[in-house]
Amino acid sequence: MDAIIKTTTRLLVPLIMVFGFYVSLHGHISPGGGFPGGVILASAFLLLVIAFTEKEVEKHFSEIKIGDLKSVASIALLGIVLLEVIVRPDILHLQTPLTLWSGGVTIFLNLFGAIVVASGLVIIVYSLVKEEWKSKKSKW
Amino acid sequence: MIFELLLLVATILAIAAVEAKDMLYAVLILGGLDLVVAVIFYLMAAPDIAITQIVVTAVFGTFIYVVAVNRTGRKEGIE
Amino acid sequence: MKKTISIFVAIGFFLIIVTAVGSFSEKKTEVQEYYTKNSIEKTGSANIVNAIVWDFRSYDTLGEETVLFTAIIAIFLIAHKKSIAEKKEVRG
Repeated sequence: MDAIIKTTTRLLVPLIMVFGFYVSLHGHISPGGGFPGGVILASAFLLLVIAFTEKEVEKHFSEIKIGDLKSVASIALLGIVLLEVIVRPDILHLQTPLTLWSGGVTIFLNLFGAIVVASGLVIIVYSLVKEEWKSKKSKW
Repeated sequence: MIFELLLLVATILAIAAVEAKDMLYAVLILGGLDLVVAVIFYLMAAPDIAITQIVVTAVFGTFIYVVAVNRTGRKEGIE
Repeated sequence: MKKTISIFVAIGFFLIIVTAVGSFSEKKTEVQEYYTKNSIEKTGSANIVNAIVWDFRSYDTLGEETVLFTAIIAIFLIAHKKSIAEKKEVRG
């Protein structure tokens, strides 16, 4: 791609990632939640993959690491759900509503769910785009 | 009033996406349809569904359709 | 042109059926009242959709993430069939 698209991508990708984390962390206050936040995070990676070439992307991302991140986030999600059911930490529920820590363990559930969804969609996008890069007919 | 207008625009875009000869244009029209449907969801007081509709269908659906069009060819019909 | 007319006829039938059925959620259930009354007190989150998805129905969301995880593992294995086989050959 040309320099305009690359420069715009360099400017936009951190902003999109910040927006994704905002949506997923404020899921219990404003509309949004773990799933849309994770998909926004993955769409930042989608923009990156479309704009840059294979070598530039693979310098910074390795999919094995993303798979590890996904496993760790899934185990953390399972642990938090079990902790919530078994222990039921009532201290976190005592804050006033509409503040950041008001939702109890919901904020952690949102964060780890967002990481699970984002890394899964990144793996899907990366698998599809790698096939496109390998085939000689493609224009990317 | 604007609600019925948006429904009409969504119907017209859906028919245009079916009738388009070039598959890439059909995919782009489908992305526009998803945006209109997201605005309809927002007017029906469901901003959660609007965000999910935009992000999942209009971004990732369009990406997957573009990959499929890139592999199968832009012309409609069997070659 | 025939296709377009048939699409219009289908849309007309769909609208007739939808207006004949009427609005969808007239009936109120116990679960609905419980969620709308107790969501802020029990969970503390102002967004009621998020309270239901991540707090009242945590097990369902966990199952959903499990489905996603399984699908991703299947896609990963299919997409990297060749490189996994090469690694096995290298190891013997």
